[in-house]
Amino acid sequence: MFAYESMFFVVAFAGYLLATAAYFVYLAFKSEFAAKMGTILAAVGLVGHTVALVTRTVTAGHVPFTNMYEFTSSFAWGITLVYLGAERMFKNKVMGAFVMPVAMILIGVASVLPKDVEPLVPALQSYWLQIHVTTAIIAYGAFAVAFGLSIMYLLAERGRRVNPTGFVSTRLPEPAKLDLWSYRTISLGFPFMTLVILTGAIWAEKAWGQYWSWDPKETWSLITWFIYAVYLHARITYGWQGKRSAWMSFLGFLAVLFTYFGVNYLLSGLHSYAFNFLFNWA
Amino acid sequence: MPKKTSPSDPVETSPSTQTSSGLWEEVWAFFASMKVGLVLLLVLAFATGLGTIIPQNANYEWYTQTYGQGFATILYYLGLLNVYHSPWYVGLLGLLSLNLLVCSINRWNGLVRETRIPAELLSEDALPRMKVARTAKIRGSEEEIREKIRGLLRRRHYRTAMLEKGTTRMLYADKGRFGVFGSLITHISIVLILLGGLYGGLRGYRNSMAVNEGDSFTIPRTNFQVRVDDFTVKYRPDFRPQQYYSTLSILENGRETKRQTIYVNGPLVYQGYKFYQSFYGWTVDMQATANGGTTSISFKNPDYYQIPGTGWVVKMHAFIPDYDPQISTMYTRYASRTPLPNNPRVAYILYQNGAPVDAQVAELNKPITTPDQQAIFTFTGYREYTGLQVRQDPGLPLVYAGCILMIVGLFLSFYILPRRMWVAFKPQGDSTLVTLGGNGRKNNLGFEAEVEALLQDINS
Repeated sequence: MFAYESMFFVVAFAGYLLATAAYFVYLAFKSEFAAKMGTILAAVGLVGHTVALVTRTVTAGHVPFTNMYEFTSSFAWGITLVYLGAERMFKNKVMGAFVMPVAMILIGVASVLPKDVEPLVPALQSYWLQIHVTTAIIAYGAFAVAFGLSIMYLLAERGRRVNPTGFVSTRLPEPAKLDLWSYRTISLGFPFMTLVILTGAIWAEKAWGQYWSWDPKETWSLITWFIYAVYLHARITYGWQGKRSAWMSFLGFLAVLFTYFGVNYLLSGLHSYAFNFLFNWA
Repeated sequence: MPKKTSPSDPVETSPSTQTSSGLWEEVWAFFASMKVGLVLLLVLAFATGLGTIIPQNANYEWYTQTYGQGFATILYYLGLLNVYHSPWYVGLLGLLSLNLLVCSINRWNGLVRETRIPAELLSEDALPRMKVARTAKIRGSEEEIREKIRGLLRRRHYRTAMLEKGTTRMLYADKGRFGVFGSLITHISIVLILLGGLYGGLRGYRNSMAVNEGDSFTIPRTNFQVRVDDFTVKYRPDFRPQQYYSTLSILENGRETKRQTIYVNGPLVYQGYKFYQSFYGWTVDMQATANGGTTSISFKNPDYYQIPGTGWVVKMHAFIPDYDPQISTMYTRYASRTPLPNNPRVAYILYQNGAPVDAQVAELNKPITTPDQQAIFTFTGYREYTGLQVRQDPGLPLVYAGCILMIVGLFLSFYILPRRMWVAFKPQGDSTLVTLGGNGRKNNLGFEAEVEALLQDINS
């Protein structure tokens, strides 16, 4: 089974890598063929990735959401899924050159992480875990797509100011559209992000009798939520669109990354007590 | 960026300048302002982040060692060593709640108005100025076209009404009107959750305790006793723990009223108190004899014990359930081969007048004599204890209600997109000039597409 998982993981990795390359070619040379290939490769990668994750679920006997490797891989899966949806919805493929690299980098990171199948520690044996992480994959996937769109916005906006007929201006969609797309993607991510926090709280209440304990991970997910809440409000009431909006979305995704990687690698040392208490039973 | 306002936009109340600027009005306007809310959110985000960078509630000594005496003192007085419970952080949350409440009250009437069928017509020149506006000349009488559009709108699940004033008639239609309450409900839900958290924090009970099998404990202000009947760990073949089980009995006046085996994610609930399986460990018993007297002690954690009347201190350093000298290298001196008590040992450190003298791994029931023959101590036994978290949180119903409301509110906000429109008709020969104006609030683009499709349907 492990061999199958590795095989399909390679399919996914190769799919994302080649899709990224194809989207770059599309961006550079406006080759419609490359754009089409990008979509096909990303879709093939996604299917392979799905098979790899399902295989792992069967092998491990639990959903692949419990260690760094599993979640990073699922994170990349979520980004590609939301991305392909966004591509269909917004009818634009240049986005691929900005979003698929994120998925590719994440699956690359996953590929070097330890892949051992770990049995679930008692605290994780809860169906709330599955709901919790599923919502996280969608929320983070949406935020990653919005992040790519915001970078595109910032480039396109500058491009139009500096050189209206230059490379950037002729390749990227008009800034107003990018801004709207990024808003709509965040509108998908935000309710899911809220569910991530709520289901996490309910799970913690069931497992430890405390729905909120200010451990760094939940705290950073709250900070992420604050940032996107400000994004949504400022946009509706103050018409904070465009540049400021794009920077907020950029910042929001940095908070997402920090919640996942920063908290584990930078803060865990400081908070080892909390982590030992909550997670290191063995 | 300047903003186009229209009648159904969420209007922010700004401090009114024409009315008497009483203090009360100013304070009210301050809290009703979304700008204040956004600043609060940003400040909270920053403060919350600070609390994760500075380790919270550590030993004060740790802070002085890490940050230096001066800086540690400053951090202490700023409340940064316990950010989330410091008065200013709780105060910020209070201000945020106030902001959300005042905002909700201010918006209530406007929102209700938006869900009602307007009583009066709009002036016809108002229509082309709305967020989404279209005019079309369509063949057919006014009556005919009006009924056709009305039918098409109804098929798209719009609620329609005819507004009349004198001889002018205008068609009104709306859809997804309850979506306007989404953000209000979400805001109220946040206040509920914060209130629930505050109430639970003030009136709730929480404690964690290590209890040996067979022992009982009581909880203040309750009339029942809890007895731990049994504790077991279920291991996987590789000795990693799979699940922990404690069997608890509740006793009222000595009579057993409830008995349940709890595990991680499966607590016992009794009279609002919840008992969670939380941790476990070993209790080590020790007897010490000195100057003709014998004392005994139970260690639940590594701890020091001064043998009475002597300068000797024994530190119970670790309990090793399955000692194996083969795997006990310098670094894994206290390693256990399995977690099962197959070959139990106790690692101890002996101090004389504060200075370590000896560190050994001792067998059970083998008396150990201090070098000066003054005292004898023996590790007499070991037992597994279970670690329980006991919680009673009267704020929980509020918090859960808040969670549910929040989901409802966000669903309304993001998935029920309110849209409303007014349609005016003017006969022109054998055709009718249709003027349509409307507002799709958050989704004018989708609304526009819908209007476009509607106009095409009329022509077909």
